[in-house]
Amino acid sequence: MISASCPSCSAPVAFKHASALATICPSCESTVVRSGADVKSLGKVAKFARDLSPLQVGASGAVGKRRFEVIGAIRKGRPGVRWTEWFLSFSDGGVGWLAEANAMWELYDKPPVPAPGAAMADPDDKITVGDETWIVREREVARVLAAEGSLPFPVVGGEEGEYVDLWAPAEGLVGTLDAADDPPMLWRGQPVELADLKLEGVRAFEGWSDSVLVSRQGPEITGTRALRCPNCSGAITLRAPGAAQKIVCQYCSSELGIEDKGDASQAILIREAEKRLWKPPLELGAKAALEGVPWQVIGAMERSVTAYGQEYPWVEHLLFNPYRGYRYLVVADGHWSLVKPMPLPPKGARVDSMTIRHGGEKFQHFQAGSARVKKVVGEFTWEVSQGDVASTDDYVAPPKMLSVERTAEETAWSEGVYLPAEQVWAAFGTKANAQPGGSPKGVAPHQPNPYGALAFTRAMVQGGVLFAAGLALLMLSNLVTANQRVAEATWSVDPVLSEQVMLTQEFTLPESKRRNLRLLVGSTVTSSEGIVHAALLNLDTGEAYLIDDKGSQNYSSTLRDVSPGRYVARLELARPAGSTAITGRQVGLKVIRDPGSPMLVWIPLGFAPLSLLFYFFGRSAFETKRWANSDHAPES
Amino acid sequence: MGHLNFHAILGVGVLIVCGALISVGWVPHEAVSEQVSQTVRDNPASFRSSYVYYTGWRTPTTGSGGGYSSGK
Repeated sequence: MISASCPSCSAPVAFKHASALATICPSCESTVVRSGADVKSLGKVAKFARDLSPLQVGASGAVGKRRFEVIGAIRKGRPGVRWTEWFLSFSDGGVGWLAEANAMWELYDKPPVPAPGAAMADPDDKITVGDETWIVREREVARVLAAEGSLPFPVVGGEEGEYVDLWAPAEGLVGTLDAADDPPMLWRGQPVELADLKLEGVRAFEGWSDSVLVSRQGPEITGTRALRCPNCSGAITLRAPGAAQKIVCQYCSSELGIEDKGDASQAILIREAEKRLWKPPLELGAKAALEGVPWQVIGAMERSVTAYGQEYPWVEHLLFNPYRGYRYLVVADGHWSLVKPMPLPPKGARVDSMTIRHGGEKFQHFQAGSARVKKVVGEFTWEVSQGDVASTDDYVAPPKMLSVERTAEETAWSEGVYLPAEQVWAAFGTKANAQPGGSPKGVAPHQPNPYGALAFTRAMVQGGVLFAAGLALLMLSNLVTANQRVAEATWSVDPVLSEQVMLTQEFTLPESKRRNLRLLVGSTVTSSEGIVHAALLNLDTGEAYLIDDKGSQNYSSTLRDVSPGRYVARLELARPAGSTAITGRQVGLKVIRDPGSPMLVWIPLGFAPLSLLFYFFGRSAFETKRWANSDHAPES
Repeated sequence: MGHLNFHAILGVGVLIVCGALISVGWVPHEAVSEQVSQTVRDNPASFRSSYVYYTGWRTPTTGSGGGYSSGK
């Protein structure tokens, strides 16, 4: 670190890295430049306004095993867009940048490489650097808005410079370069999450905390600013100062711009009220935790697509957490999704993609549409207006959904995950509105099929249990039933007689609590040759039991509660008159006492495979409902 | 999911009912009865059912057709 005195105000200034050629005086905001042992002032830059970025000069973190300290920052912007470039000094002597825009972060921690020709490239142009293919995202002019701490080059407030932003989706890389450099030097970086950088010394915000990012001890910063609507004078709370670009008054629905002056903000009337107040399902300012992370609703808009003359609306709530950035909490037909903007498009995604592989999953195209903004309220980080239109495509791999929105200016990808309504109700429900968004209707595009892997396992277990129980019943049946053969006989059929009667030997049924009988009749006579009637006669009481042949030559029948006593079983073979002689035919009969009922065993056993049938039927029916709402519904 | 739960409950119910029926020795009753005279009891071969369906030749049918009371 090199120390010096500010040439303007004599306050001590520090250059915190050997490559830091400039530093911003903390007392007078002058840019102090060093050249050898000499220092000079280049004039003032604006004071670094306090937005709700959690990062600050002096914070530290790590990329893998490389520790870093944030030693400087430049805030830049162009109309409608602002971002901050944080200058990092690594413990191994290297330097890097952490770029912050709309609470999305890109880390540039490797030395830049020459990229000849890149400075002249236009948006969507492809350039090759080494073996990497880069696509130009934008080529714009940025203005320096503010600066703080040590920087590798001098900056002057209001200074403008052309830059080129690129990305290499196939490699998962982002890139940026200063068009004025000769030769152009490409900084190659990657999107990162603050929570992955082991940050310490981040800013402490009133009403917010984070389990991963460690705040430095000190006074908490008020995270909100009070505004007055210039149209209706309503008191508006700005919940994402520094990031919000537009706000729609919740009292008169006027569209307001936001002008930041230092640490204060002022609302500017863009479009007067149209007197169409709208209350989204979740109230502005509502705060609750989803999946362990607290979020606050700062804005909402209703959008819709129209297909086949039918309008399909949904509501997107913009959620904000100063440590975690922005999310969208979307509700359509009572189905909720938590949606995260993606820093890079999925690898290999094209305009006409029908499937996309992302994160190890295959997403299938579900629906394309033209989404129009119908209603807006609250604040947004972009200049949203009623009537804004974007073409959309949704891809699903339940419970996830990838969405892309395309306008003339940009293409934005996002990844959503389905949230059970009960989870949102538990988080955001109030006494007045316990079930915001209402009960889910129909099947959502990315709603998890309830007949998933878990249900399959459950069906298998159920089937197994029922099968085992059926076997247990079979064993029980064998244990408790006598299954005793009390009579059996076989007769040869006379070749010519038209009627032949056969009797078993007399047999006795004893007194018993279980008084069931089964008669089994078998014959080799065909149905056209003759019919076999069976009967059981009680010789003591004269009761005759007549057995239904059930239209078959081989049949059995069960008799319940047959009285004890002496019996004979009788078979009668009846043949049509004048029929031709038959030879080698036999008929037989068995009488079984207390046989049990096979039906009572087979019915439960039959339920075992039904478990799987129910599973497959349910799964298929659910998917049919899902895809019936898509662009790829099966033709009926 | 509702189908599975319904099916599980139904399956357990069927198990209980079938187990109980097996335990008490229940079987379906698949016969019709009539009273015969002492003469027939002395000579069972002479028995002829008063139900036409249960005696003599009839044209084959594919089902169980006729029913217990047919031709009485």
